[in-house]
Amino acid sequence: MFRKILVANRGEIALRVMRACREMGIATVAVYSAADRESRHVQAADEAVFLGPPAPLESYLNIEALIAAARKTGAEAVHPGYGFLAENPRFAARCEEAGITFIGPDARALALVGDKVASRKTAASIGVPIIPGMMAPGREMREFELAIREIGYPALVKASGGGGGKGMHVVRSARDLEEKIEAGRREARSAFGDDSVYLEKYLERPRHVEFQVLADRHGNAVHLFERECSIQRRHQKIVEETPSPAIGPELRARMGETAVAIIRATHYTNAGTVEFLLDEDGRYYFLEVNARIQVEHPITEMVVGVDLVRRQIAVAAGEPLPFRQEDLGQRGHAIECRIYAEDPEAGFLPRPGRILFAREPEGPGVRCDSGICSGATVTPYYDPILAKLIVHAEDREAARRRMAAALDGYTIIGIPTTVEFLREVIAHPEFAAGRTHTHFIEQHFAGWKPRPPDPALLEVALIAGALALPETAPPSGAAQRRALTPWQTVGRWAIGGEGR
Amino acid sequence: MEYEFNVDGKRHRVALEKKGGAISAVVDGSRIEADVARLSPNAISILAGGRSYLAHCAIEGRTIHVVVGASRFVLEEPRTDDALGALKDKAAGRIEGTVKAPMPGQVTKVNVAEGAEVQPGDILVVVEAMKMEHEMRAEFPAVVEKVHVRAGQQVDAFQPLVELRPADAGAQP
Repeated sequence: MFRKILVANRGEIALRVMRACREMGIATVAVYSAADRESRHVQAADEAVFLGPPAPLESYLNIEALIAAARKTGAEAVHPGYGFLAENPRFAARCEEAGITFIGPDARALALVGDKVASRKTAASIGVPIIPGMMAPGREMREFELAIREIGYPALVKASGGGGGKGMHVVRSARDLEEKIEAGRREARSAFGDDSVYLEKYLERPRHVEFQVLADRHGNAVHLFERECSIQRRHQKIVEETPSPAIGPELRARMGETAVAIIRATHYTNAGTVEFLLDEDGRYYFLEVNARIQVEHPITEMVVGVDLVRRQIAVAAGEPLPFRQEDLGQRGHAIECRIYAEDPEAGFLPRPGRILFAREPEGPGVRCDSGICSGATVTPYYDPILAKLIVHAEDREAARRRMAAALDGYTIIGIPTTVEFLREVIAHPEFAAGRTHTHFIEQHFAGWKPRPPDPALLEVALIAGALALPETAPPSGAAQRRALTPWQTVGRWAIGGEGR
Repeated sequence: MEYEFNVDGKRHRVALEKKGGAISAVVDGSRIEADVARLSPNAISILAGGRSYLAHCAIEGRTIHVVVGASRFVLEEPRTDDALGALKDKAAGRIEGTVKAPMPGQVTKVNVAEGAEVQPGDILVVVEAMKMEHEMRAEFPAVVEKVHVRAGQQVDAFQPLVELRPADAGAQP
């Protein structure tokens, strides 16, 4: 086993990985940019190495600085977390070349699954259903027009090098085909530096169902069941749950086998996620492989009872998986809500700022994977995820109620967050009924505004506000007399009021 | 002690009287008896009307954020340039002479001593907060009557820093 691991990430996922390391008796090295000197991951590590200026390219994406940090501290392995360099084959190759273990799939498997078109081809070649569409990026308009004849409208323009919904556009008629393809190209070029796009059939109300997989270096591969991640904003997940309310044992087994088949076909090792879309008729289509630990991994950990980060590290160290497929099962129901520094009222625009106060919920079956604390500053440089709130309970309705109660106990003051919005998603009758799909938020929450505060609590709030003002030494008589409004006497009120 | 807050553009008045652990409050004219406990700088427990409330508060500039349960309130300091405030000031013939900290921070510099004469724009005190320096300046010709802080001292939001007496106001009433 490794003695020291460098965690090439920040925020809640860096803390999550460091926790696993600590439990395994492995020393940790944090890396940080100039914007993160005061961040929690720096405090949680045994050692910390400064990378550079806040801009990701000069810090968390700076491959040579990371390799140098690992060498300097004697770290034997690097955990990339998610985002940043987690799925970058060049980084994985560079680690290997430097004799440092990359905790993830090898560079070749990363390159294969990272190319959406290539992984579609691989999936199709072993008989896995894929969404009807082009098998290569198009160049001429004629190629797109030909493809449309096969798949029909509505169609979806997708970037072949992309993710996170960037470059995606729905085309509903021949009239806007060319325009949407151009828009997709422009976005893909600026987001990924590659403007190749392709067309796929667009599913109207699909569910997003993904399977967690684990594969070791000894030929063992298992799936750890599904996660349903249909509740999305800006094509990005915000609520996830497992089991999926939409699939039964038979479909679950079939999809799980498909996921494992894809992992075997790509010679993939370590933890990964095979994403599917599930249409309203129960047909599923392979979407892509996420070659990293997922943001939403904790719900699988809760329901399956496997520590995925610990398994990642063990697999990278060459250990075989300690269980077989038949040893694994699902117990109860788990839900995750993502707490972002975003303003749901303003189209989920990220809003950096200072967290004046944070209080996180606790209790049986409540887990909060957080990267924040009172006084922390949320900078504009990185992903605005603050924390993930995860609950586990006996069944879906118990988990839903537990999540509602936990969100009520989550208080963040100073910056807008998704907490209040999530309370309403969890309380929504359609969510309670399990009728979720990827357009859920657009359909049910368009033009959402936070509810006004309960007027019955105004008096209590006013008293609290008055009490919250600082108490300091009583003022001189002259100053007291000159006080015009209570605000000018702030900090002066004392027992008995007037000048004591 | 009396307080005024603007909430959603509406003015509210709170009068508090402390009697041991209990308080007697008059909020917008109605009396509330409550038992209060300040649990931490940001948490206040209030027992009132047979119910238990936990309020979380944070001060930011002229604003106090208060969260009670799932309800969020934003309490604002009525601005002195509010019509009402301005009228009051004029009627009283007085000028605000207390310079207060804009937010919690550290006093990094005190430029004046008691008795000093200052001109508009003169820097009185520098407070560092959120990695920014806030220069507290005189807004009218004045004499420094009292300096409440020294360099290096931590201050809360709205904590008085310096008292000024308008230079032409003559002796205090």
